[in-house]
Amino acid sequence: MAHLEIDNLEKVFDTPDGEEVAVDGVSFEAEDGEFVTLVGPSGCGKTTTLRCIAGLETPTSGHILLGGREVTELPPNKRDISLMFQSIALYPHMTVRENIAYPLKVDGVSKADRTEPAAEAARTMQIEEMLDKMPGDLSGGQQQRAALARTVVQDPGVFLMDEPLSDLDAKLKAETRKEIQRIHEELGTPVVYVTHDQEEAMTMSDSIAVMNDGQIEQFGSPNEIFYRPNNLFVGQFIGQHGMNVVDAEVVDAGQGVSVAVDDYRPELRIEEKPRRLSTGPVKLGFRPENTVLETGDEHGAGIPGTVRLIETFGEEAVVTVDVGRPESLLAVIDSNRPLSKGAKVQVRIDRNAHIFDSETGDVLAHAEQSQKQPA
Amino acid sequence: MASSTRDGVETVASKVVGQSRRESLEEFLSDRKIMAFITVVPATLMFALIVAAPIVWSVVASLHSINALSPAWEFVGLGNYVELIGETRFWESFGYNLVWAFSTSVLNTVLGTAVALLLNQNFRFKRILTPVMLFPYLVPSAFFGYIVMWITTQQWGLLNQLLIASGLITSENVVAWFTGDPWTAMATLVGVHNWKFSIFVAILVYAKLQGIPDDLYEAAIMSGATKYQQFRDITLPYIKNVLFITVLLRGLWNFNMFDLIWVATNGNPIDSLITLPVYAYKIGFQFQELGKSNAVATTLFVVLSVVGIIYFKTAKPSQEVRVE
Repeated sequence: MAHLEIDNLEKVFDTPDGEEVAVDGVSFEAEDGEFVTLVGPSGCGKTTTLRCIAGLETPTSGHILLGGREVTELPPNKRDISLMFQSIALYPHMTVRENIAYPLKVDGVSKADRTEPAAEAARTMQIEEMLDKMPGDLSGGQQQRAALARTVVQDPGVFLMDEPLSDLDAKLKAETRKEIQRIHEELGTPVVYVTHDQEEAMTMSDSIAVMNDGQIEQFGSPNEIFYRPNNLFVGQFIGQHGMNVVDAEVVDAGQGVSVAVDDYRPELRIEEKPRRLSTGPVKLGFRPENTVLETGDEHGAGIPGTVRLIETFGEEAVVTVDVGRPESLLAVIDSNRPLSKGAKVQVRIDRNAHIFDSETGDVLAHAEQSQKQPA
Repeated sequence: MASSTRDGVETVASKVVGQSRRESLEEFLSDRKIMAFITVVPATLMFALIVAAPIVWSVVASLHSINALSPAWEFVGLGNYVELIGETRFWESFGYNLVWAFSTSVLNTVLGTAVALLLNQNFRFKRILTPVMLFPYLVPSAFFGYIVMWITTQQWGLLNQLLIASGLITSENVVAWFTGDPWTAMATLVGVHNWKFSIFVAILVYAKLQGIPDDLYEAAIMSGATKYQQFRDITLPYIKNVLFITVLLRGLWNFNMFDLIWVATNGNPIDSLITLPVYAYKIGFQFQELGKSNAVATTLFVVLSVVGIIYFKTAKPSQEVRVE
């Protein structure tokens, strides 16, 4: 168990087309026992960051400290870490027992002395009966457990996991996710977990680092990331349905901030008075879950639009509304509500919204809509 | 009206007949036994003509005394074999042949694997070096043998000239690569053979190496496995079966090899180094004893068959590494 600190990590690859910056000044810390997730779209540098921590890549600059010890230049096996691969990477020609015990074998542990830890790790992962089988005889979930057991047997200071669930089907994913959380709780070892799936990140982590273009856009708890996104990218990437973004204008930046989307003026209540907010164009972001569709045609009651698509998921339905702008808006509604394609609706913001700089995309203010509803 | 109706009926009737004919043909063809017969017979015929018939012919011929210049076959039973067993030259050739086949096959496999491992690495000049290494295998054996003959010629061959230029030998005592001591000739021949035929193993092993997932090596590196441990625990199990196959194939081909030996040594000027195929050739075409020559060939065939069967029973090269 150890405290992991990443300080200004940078990794540049030489490619035939010139230099490619994969990781561009990443810094974060994982406390003892913390579950930290690096999440972002593919190519954002999250896996490269993880491979630098693992020691499979040498960073161009920056430092990696584990328990206060500088490990940046150390080979992987001297770092007290273990890595679980996306592809599971079990040795197909060895039994599950040999697979699990392999880290001990190369460590020089005698055959007799590595039987017990291997069986122990298998017991933790509940695959004891599978020990003498070949990986090919195991189901996908059991293979995942065996791979996890192989990392557990090393008793590392930090677990690294590189998208270990991305090849599993939805049900198995949910099961294995719980399994990883159970192991994490039992062992209390910090985990650095890489995924492109924001849902995985939101459900498993103590802290999330949202990455884009080699940089961390925001580091914080799942709640912070969800309710107080730092910028447009984080807002749109996190959340099951992303975020609606419309061009808007701040018409009053004084005491009562007022924002207009054409003729619609949602009354927003801003908790902290932002310094940077001034009148002019902004982008207004609000989640589909916080979006209400009204059927009236009262002028200025919302953003007028036409229903284009209704996707039903059990109790919920996601409605796509064309509002005469390049981007259409989404709203999550009760699937029992009688609404049909082509219906004229008014899109209104209910609860939280975020005001972003129209050029940089940085957040200017987090706002709640005032309780006072327009008549 | 009526006639046209009758015509219509007839057309329908003939269609029905045609249909039932096609159906019965399909039924006939979909019979497993008939389908098996039709598909297997052409291949079997080819095999019989090209492989089985010459073998039978050769075995029958080995039981006769045949002069190349006369059409008469005189049956001598096992006479040719008895004669061969009594000859020192036969046993000498047999011995050389075993040494030759064993050393070339083992070295082909070891060197070929080494080349494959090298090609599997990323290094500078790989794109230049790869075709250079593959080139000898692409050159026909006879042509290759001819190049070798020129390189190894005692007085003005490239090899001796290079050795003189580098000061390792003087022009007074140049090495007689193929014309002196039989073991020198053997070593030279083995070396030359590896230059060309290791590449065969390298190509097969290289293809297999490409199929080993990088993740396995990375997992091993994370566990702290050394390069040697990675080779022993991951690479070797993966290429094991390819190696079994290449040892077998190279073993069979090297045991029977004639062209390279014959051309490189310029028709084997020294009598001291003779392998069985060369011996068979000499008996047949220089001494015109075709029956006895076929007895040598039949001996080769029997020896290889026995070795091949034992090999397959023990090595079981068909067991693949299971990859899920």
